[in-house]
Amino acid sequence: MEPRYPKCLDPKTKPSNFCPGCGYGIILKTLGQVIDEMEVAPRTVFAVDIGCNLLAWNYYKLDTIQTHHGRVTPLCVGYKRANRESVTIGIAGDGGLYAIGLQSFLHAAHRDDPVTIIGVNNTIYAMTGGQLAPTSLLGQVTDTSPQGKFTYEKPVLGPELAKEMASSSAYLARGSILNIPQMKGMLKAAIERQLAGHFAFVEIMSYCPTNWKTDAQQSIETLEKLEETFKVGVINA
Amino acid sequence: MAVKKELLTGNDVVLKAALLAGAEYFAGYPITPSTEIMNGWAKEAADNPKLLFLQTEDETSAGMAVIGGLLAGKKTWTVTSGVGHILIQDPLVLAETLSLPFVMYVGQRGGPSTGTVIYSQQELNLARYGGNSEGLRVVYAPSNIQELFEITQKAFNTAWRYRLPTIILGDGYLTKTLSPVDTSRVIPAEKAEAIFLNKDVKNLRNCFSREDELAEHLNILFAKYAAASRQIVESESYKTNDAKIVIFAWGTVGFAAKVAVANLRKQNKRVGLFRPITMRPFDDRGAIKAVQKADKILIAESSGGQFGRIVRETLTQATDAEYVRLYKPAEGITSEEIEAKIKEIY
Amino acid sequence: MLKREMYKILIAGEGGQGIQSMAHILAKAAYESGLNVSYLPNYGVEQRGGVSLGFIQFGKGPIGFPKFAKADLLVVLCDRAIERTKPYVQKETLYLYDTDLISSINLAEIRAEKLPIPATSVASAKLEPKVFNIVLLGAITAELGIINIKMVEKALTENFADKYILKPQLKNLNLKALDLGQRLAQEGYKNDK
Repeated sequence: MEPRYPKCLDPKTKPSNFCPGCGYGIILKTLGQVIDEMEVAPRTVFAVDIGCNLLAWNYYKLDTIQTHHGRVTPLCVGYKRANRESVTIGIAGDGGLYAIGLQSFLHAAHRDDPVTIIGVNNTIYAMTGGQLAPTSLLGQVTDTSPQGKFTYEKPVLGPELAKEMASSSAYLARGSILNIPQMKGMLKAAIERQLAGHFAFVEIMSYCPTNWKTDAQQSIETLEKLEETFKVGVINA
Repeated sequence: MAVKKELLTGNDVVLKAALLAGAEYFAGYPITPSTEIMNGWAKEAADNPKLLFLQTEDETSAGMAVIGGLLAGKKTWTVTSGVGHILIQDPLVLAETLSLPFVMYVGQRGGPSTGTVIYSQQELNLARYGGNSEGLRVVYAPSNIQELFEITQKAFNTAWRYRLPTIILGDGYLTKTLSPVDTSRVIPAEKAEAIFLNKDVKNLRNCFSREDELAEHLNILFAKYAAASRQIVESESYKTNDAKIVIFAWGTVGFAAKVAVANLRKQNKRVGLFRPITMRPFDDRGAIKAVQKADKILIAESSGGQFGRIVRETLTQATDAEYVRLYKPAEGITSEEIEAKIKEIY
Repeated sequence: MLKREMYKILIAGEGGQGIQSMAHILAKAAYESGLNVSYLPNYGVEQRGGVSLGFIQFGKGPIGFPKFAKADLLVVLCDRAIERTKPYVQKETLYLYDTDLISSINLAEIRAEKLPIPATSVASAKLEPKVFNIVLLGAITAELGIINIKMVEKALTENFADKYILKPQLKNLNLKALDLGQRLAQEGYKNDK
């Protein structure tokens, strides 16, 4: 039997180019289900950033633009301002959002731009082969933190940081691919909040078996451990 | 239409021309000497709900927001200068690979780095080939305030007709100057069209998996650019037919040179001017034709030779004329200086 | 009185002395007198406090670069501006300055015909000190026979329209200052002879 894809996914581009065991497939499929269920596909515009998420440029049967280098947020902000009826969704990794795209991300929150941004956090730069991310933990070994050197005392906590600058009306949450129903609810809430005219952000904890060098069981265990630092839940309702 | 002269600053002129060309949306970040245009737009937009305005956190974001506006089918534009111009090349190359009608006015200021705040001609390389660009863009260089009025309108039309990023490359002297302008010279505006949420689904990519895929994409863009270039390319050859000395100059210096040539002709000096109006594409043929009788070529520019290198490369095979340089990086060049230089070398 | 085909005028002083207002009014009046005109304000990166320059050109012919190499008329309103404007002086330049704002000792090196105008002291004695720049504008207009004084009055009124609403008496004060400046320039010449 064929797997049941959400209607807004483009079957022609499946299977996608993500590594086996990558968390992106789960996130994108869940987002697709939300778009279907909310019946917003005809007015949805999707934007991807630099990093592994750029592979999703043809994932959906939705108008999609591939941006670069942490610029997905201002692209979404710019589009949405010109088309208030649209549902504008951007996705980026932890490097794109919290390093090179941080100021755009924070200022969109500050201006309360009505866009939905999804940040995928696997505590590492994955597409470039495993470098230190702003979300990496103290002592974490990556290509640019050999032996755990050069790491930060504490990782960037995106939604918590955004709360400092965001409007009180913004929706800020952290979900995980280990709890798909909860993550789905957060994605839905984030689109609803955009439609209500406010900024919405969901960080999703995800795994990267390729760079973590973990098998399926180890990936889950590692992610469970990470969630002790990156607490799942709604940060600003 | 009857001539309608108004006394305006270059800033007023850019704003007025953009509105006449159908600009609906402006996203930008303040930087001298281009800020006043942004202020003007904000003021207009505050009174007109049809006009959209966004002040972003930096110029890269401004450029990305412009691209967002273009995807929605709004005539979106920005203005910048100097270091902001460097940052905005990042979104501009995205517009280049996606063939988007990105319109930008650049008021050159001094460089490198923060340099000075009003005037220079040092952003030519950046405008023509900034970023990891293949130069798939149009760069117009107005030489006076009247031309600024017409070229700003034309830039929007070129951008939307050929789907090419289009830059109007001016400077702070040009936009701060108050001068009479004939504002009856209005050009009919091209139509804008939404790219997203319009007819079929579009997946736009800027990243290719394989070298040959990107090469194929680029070859299509190069072919389109070459065809469009023939329609777009513009230059002015002024009294070059019998000229012993041909001046090569552009932008505000180009107009100063024209006035100098007019004065020198009254003194029976066989002097001419070649002035590119599009800095990219560049009118190679026009330049070559202009120097047929020349035994000296005077290159005048407010930079250390950015324009001179283009001129010498273009004319390599075309002339044995001697090159004389009047390079004044970061400083203006007046008609009197050009006239004096010609008299010195004539 | 200056006679030229094209006029190049540079006004220089401290930021806040009204340099750009003077230049703007003069440019507008030249335009309204039927001339081609170009006016470029020029100052440094400072919002306040630098030397402020106004480059004005007008006449019947075309105007090339918005800046020029040498001035026909240089108007100097502060000591700092003397050094800053030195490159624009040639022996044919008419050097107009406010004797109350400039120490003549600082002008020793300036080789040009000088026209000293005691604008600040005369404005203080007969009107109000703040209109010294309008007095100077009157003197400038008198030197430039080509500009219609009615057009200067018109441009002056337009420029200060907002202020006149709040203080209607300003209008008369400014017009008197303009007239005073014209007479000062004319007397200056008489004294020379």
